[in-house]
Amino acid sequence: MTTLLQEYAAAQAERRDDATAVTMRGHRLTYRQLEESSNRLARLLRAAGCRRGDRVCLFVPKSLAAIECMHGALKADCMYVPIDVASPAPRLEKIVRAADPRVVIVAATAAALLDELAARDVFGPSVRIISAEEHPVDGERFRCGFARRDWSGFSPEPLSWANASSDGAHILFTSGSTGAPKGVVVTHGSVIHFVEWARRYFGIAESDRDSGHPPLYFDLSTFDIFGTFSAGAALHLVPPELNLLPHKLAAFIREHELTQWFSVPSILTYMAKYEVVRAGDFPTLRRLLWCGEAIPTRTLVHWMERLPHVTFTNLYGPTEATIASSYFTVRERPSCELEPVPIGTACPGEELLVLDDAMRDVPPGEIGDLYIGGAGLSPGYWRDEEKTAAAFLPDHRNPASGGRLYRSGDLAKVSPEGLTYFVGRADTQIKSRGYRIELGEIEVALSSVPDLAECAVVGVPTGGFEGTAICCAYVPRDSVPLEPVGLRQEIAKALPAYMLPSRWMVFESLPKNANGKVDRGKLRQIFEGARDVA
Amino acid sequence: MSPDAVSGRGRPPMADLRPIVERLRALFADELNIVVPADDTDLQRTGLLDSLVLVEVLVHVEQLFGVTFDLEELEIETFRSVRSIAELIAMRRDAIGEGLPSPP
Repeated sequence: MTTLLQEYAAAQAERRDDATAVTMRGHRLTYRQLEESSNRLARLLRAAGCRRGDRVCLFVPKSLAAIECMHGALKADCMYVPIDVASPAPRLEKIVRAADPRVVIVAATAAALLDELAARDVFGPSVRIISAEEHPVDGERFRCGFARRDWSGFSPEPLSWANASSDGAHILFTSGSTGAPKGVVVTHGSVIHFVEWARRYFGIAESDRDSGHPPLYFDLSTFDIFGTFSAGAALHLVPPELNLLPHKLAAFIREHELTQWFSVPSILTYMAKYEVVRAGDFPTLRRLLWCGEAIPTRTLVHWMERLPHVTFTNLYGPTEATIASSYFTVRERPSCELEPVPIGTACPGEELLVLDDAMRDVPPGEIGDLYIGGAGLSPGYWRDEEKTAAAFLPDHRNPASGGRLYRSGDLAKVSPEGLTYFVGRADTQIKSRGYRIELGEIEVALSSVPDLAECAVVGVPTGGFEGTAICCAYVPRDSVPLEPVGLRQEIAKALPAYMLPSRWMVFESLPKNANGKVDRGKLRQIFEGARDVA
Repeated sequence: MSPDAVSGRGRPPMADLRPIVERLRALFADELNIVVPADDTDLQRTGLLDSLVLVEVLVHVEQLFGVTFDLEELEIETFRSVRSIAELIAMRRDAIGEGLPSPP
C-alpha cells in the first residue's frame, strides 16, 4: 500500500529501472534516473536546512527538472509549491510571502523574475536559493547556494523519510476574491486516494503513454504525474507553446502515440473549431479525459464522431477536493447538442451533496449548492483559518464524527437517475480556458488604477473555446480620457495574462440595483448585447 | 505558400516590412487593447499572445491584409514577434502577387 507520492516512482525504479518515466522536447528520464537524481536533491535540501513540513518553491517551468524537483522536495519531507513563472512579480510576491519557503529552486528562464522578487525583499536571509541548472543561476540581487552539479556530491541511494499520508505534499495557489491568492494544501493521502481509484477504473498500465498537458501549478497535473508513475507508464509533457496552434497539439498526440489525453475542455473545443482531428485519428489513443470546466456538448459530439475507438470520461472537482470527486463516462454519443454532460457520480470514498440553504437534500431536478465530502478533502487553506472555516464545514449529519464538507460554490442538480449536473456558480468565480478566476481579484487590481472612479468585472459566456469572456465596465474619474489599452497595460503588471479582460466598455456611471450595488446581471446583458465592443 | 517563394526570397529586408509592422502594432492596440513594446518583443514569453489573441489576430490580419492562412502551414515561431508575423504576411502577399497556387 502506497503511503507517500514519491513511493510510486521509487517502486518503478526497482521494478523496471530503464523504463521511461517522463519525456519532454526529445529528452527523457528513466525511472532509475528520476529516483537517483531526486534522492540526491532530497539530501541536498536537507543539507540546505529543509525540515519536515518546510516549503520548497519551484520557479521551474514545465520540464524534466521540474518533475525531479517535486520528487526531491517530497523525499525531503517538504511540500513543493509550483510557481506560475509567467505571472507578474507583484502577484507572485503574495504567493511566496504566504508560502514562506525554506528553499527556492530556480531555472535559468526565471532568473529575471526572481530578481524582481528579490528587489521586493520577498526572500528573507534564511531562504536558500538552488539552481535547477548545471551551473548556478545568479541574478543581480540573489546568489544560488547550490547548482545541479552539486547534487552529485550526495548519495543516490534511497533515503528514509518521516512524513505520513496525512501530511501535505504540495500547496497550489488559486485566485482569491479579495486579491490575495489562496493556497490549497493537498495531502499525499488525498492524491493517492484518487490515483488508486483512477488507475483501476481506467486500467492504466505500464504500456500506457499519458499526456502531461496542464501546467504544473494546476492540480490536474498531479494526476498526470502520479497516476502515470503509479502504473509505471510514460508521461509525455506537452510543451505549453503548442497550445497556440491546435494542429500542433494533434501532431503531438500522433507523434507520441499517446494512449491517454487529459486536458481542460477548452483545448478540445479549440482543436474541434479548427478541425484538426481526422476520422479514426490517434489510433493508439484509448482514453480521453477532461476536467476543470463544463465541456460544450457540441465539442464532445465532434470528438466522439471522429474517435469511435476512444473512451470519453468527464471528471469534476475543485482543487480543494483533490483532482476530481466525480466522474461520468459517456457511453453513447449525445443525440442533442443542448443536452449537458453530467458530472456524474461521486468517486468511491467521496460524496457529492446538493443541498438547500438549510442543508437539506433538494428534490431531484431542483438546483442547490454542491457540497463535497470524503477522502479527497484538503485540510484547508494554507495559514488561513478564517477562509478554511468558511469553506470547510463540519458534516451537519454527524457533527461528532469529525467529518467535513467542502462548500464548492458550484450550483448543481441531481437527475431522477441519480446523476449530478453542474448548473453554474453561486458567486463571481468563473472559468476561462480552464483557469479558475475570481473576478474580485481582477477588480482589486483595477482599484489601484488612480484615474478609475468605478469599475466592475463580469463573466459572459461566449459559446467559443475560451468559455467565459472577462468583461470590464469602468468609469473614468472626472472624465479623464482612459482607454482600454492603457488600463489593460496597467493591470497586466499585477495579473497573469489569462485574467486580463478581453472586452471593455466605458460608462458614465455603472448600473445599480435597489440596494445601490452594481447590477451585475444588467452589466452581463449589456455585454452580451454588444459583442463587437472593444 | 510555395516553398520556392520562401526559400528564393529569404528574409525580407526590414524596410519592406516597416508598413506591415506598423499596421500590425496598431492592430494589436486598437483591436485587442494590447501594447506591443517593440517589433521584436517576444509575444509568447511576455504572455501577450495566447490562443485567444492568436485567433483574433488571424481574423484581423486576413481582413486587413487580404491574405488567408491554412492553419496546417502555420508554425509556432511565426508568432514569436510582430516582426515574424509581418514576415509571414509579406511572404504570403508575394506568393499571391506572383499567382502561385496555394497548397491544397
